[in-house]
Amino acid sequence: MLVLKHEMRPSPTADEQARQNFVMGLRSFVLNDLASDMRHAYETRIAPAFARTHQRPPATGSEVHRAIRGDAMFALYSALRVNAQRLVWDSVIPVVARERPRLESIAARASGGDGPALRDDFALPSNVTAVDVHLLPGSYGRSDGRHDLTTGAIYDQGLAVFSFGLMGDNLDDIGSSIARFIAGRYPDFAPRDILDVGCTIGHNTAPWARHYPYATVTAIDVAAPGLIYGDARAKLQGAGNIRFAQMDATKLDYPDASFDMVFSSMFLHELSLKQIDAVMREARRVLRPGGLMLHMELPPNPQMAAYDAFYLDWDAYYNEEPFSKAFRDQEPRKLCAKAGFDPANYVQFVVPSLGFFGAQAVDDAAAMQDETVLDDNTGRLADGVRWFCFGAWQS
Amino acid sequence: MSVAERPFPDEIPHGAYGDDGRPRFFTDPAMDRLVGAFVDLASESWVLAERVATLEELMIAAGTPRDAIERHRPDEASLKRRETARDAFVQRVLGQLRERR
Ligand SMILES: C[S@@+](CC[C@H](N)C(=O)[O-])C[C@H]1O[C@@H](n2cnc3c(N)ncnc32)[C@H](O)[C@@H]1O
Repeated sequence: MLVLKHEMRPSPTADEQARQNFVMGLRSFVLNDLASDMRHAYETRIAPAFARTHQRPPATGSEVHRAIRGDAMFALYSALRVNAQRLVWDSVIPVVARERPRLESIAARASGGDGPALRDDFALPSNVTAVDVHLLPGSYGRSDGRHDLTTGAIYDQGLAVFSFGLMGDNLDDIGSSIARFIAGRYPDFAPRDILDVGCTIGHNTAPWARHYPYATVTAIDVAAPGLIYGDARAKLQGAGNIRFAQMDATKLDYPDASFDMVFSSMFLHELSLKQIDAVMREARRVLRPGGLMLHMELPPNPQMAAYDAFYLDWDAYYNEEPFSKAFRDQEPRKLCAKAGFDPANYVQFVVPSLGFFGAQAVDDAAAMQDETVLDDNTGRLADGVRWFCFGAWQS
Repeated sequence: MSVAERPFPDEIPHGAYGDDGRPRFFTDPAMDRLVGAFVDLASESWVLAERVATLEELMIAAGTPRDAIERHRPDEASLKRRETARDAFVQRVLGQLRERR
């Protein structure tokens, strides 16, 4: 059971709480135990059978996928995971629906007259409207009016259930781990203006504001409900130096050279390749010389073993993340170069989870100057997770 | 979202989705629905287990002996309430078996 660390925390009934507890237990069982059984099935049955007919092991994630599909362990793992995902949202939606008036009045009070910058005429891009992204009913943009923050609340509470503790008790393990790592690795880097693109409810934006307290932090997203909720959430947590705005990361409203850092997390894999190119070009345009573009993401297929590629591609096929495979098939270094970043300025890191491994492990990783290798815990939500990120410095 | 407008990744293995666009993992599509119902059943059982644990803790704290549960006979009104709740329970737990239309 994870209790949100702000006043908009829900008050579920006993049954609702028990339902959420069950989903967390189920997800941990599927992602740790069943996942390890599936890997065992692959190594002992599926890969050897493939090798007998092809005289070589499966070479890509797609080959593993085709080979494993007929196996009972794959079917059971997958069917349970799909249903667990359904229950993540089912277990929080009724709570939010009941508590909506209370949440909206807290949010209105917290934001005061100074809420996020929203636009009445804003058109959501189709990558958000055409899919129920990770089975979230109605996707990020679902809203019945100007003050509707329910999708933001559903995301916050749903993420708490979804991550069963692995994203920290404030759901900011990604931001906290990476911000600490960057501050440790680059002690002279002192960004004054930080931009987080695709921030949803700003849960991973806040750690940047904490690590660079003198900086102005801006968080943008296309979906209004998350911004309304996120703005209040940040203010309730004392992170008043974050400004939220409704904007498309492929066409930013900011002038050239106006930020020292452009960050995103778990964002690019929800975009088409065309949109990704546009986001990178925009990041380069708004960065000042010496600024850093950094994307926390799922690790790239070309750097992974075939089975691990398959394992993380699963969501593209079965969790309504249709763009994520095409993104993961890219070499991030090339994506940065294509946007005009100097290939010599490319960086990538594998950062140990602050919550799981502790501060010392993050500081040790920051002190190590070599390029980190990806392992089978990289980007994989299970015990021992390590976060992958890549980007480039602006010349 | 309508299946026709929904984007899909490349290299979809044969038979990965049913006509309704939902993933299919078993050769017999009934199995896919059964797993859903089974998961819901497990969830509801856990909800009950937590409720029972709470009730027993409260009951014992209030001085009622544990075996009072075995001796209890529900009255008419309680039986009616239980029937309504039972129907809702069946819908919730076995809803996954239904055809999406
Ligand atoms: C998985 S969420 C990112 C969550 C968050 N950054 C985190 O660290 O967990 C992806 C977000 O990207 C937003 N998004 C999608 N397309 C976008 C675009 N073109 N510009 C800005 N935001 C976009 C969605 O509305 C959604 O909130």
